[in-house]
Amino acid sequence: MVEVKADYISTNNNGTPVVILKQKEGAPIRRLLIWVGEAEANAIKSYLDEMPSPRPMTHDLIKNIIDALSTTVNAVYITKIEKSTFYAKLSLKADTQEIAIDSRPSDAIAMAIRFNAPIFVDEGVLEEHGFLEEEKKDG
Amino acid sequence: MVEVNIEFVTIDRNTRTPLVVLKEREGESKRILLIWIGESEAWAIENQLKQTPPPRPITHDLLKNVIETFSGKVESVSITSIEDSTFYAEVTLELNGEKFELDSRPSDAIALAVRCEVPIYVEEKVIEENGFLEAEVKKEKTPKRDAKDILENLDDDIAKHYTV
Repeated sequence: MVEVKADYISTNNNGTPVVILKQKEGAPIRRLLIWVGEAEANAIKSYLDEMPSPRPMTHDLIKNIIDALSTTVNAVYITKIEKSTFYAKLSLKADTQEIAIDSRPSDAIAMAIRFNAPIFVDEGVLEEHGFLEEEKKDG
Repeated sequence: MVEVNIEFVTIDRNTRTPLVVLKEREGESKRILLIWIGESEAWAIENQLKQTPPPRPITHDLLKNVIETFSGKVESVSITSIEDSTFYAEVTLELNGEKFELDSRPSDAIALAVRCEVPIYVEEKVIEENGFLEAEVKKEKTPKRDAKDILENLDDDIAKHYTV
């Protein structure tokens, strides 16, 4: 697993939001693009930009509920890709208990940034689907 | 508090905004309350009502899974107040005998309620001041309230539900 950070949110030519994950350490630094839904993109962007909504958005509600359950998100993992769909897991920790819950990457990332939890990507996923900065300029 | 059912989710033609139509569950004069919501929350409610789950868990499924994983239980959700045209809601959560009231937007609360199959309540004052009677929709040609106007402009097939 390789640690990444949610770098920023952008959109492709069709206006589909994409989250850009950037490898945190090591060289060369790879990036991974994951297409996400609009609501999830907003949930990530508003938090990265520190522009909180006046009312709790869905992921804020999830955070408040996780807090109420005396639990925390300790990490999220982007584990695999199947038929062009990325799969992720949200790792929750309560006392000594650690449980991983199936999630879309977009929700997992939106939760990770709310808990300051690290985001990890499977090495195979990053190897096959990641790219270097120079490649992006070419393509 | 009065219990309501979700009648349906639709799109307000005038504003192109999704709205959820809530209807009082019991009593003679079943009142209706309209709440405008976001697109993704409308979709989250709609696909649970229609029992057409997407292949991957969507955000509100994740929320439910998180609660159940930690043996929490959603008891009910309530629409508690309206301020500056914004409805406020609460999710009542039970964990190890302890109760928590969590601040929520109505859309998220309703999307969670349909997944957990728990009742949706509306504060009496909220439905009294912002709701209207089903019968009024048909009778009045010049609606006094915006909500009626919206209902009268609903798609025809949806409006059929309102034939009194």
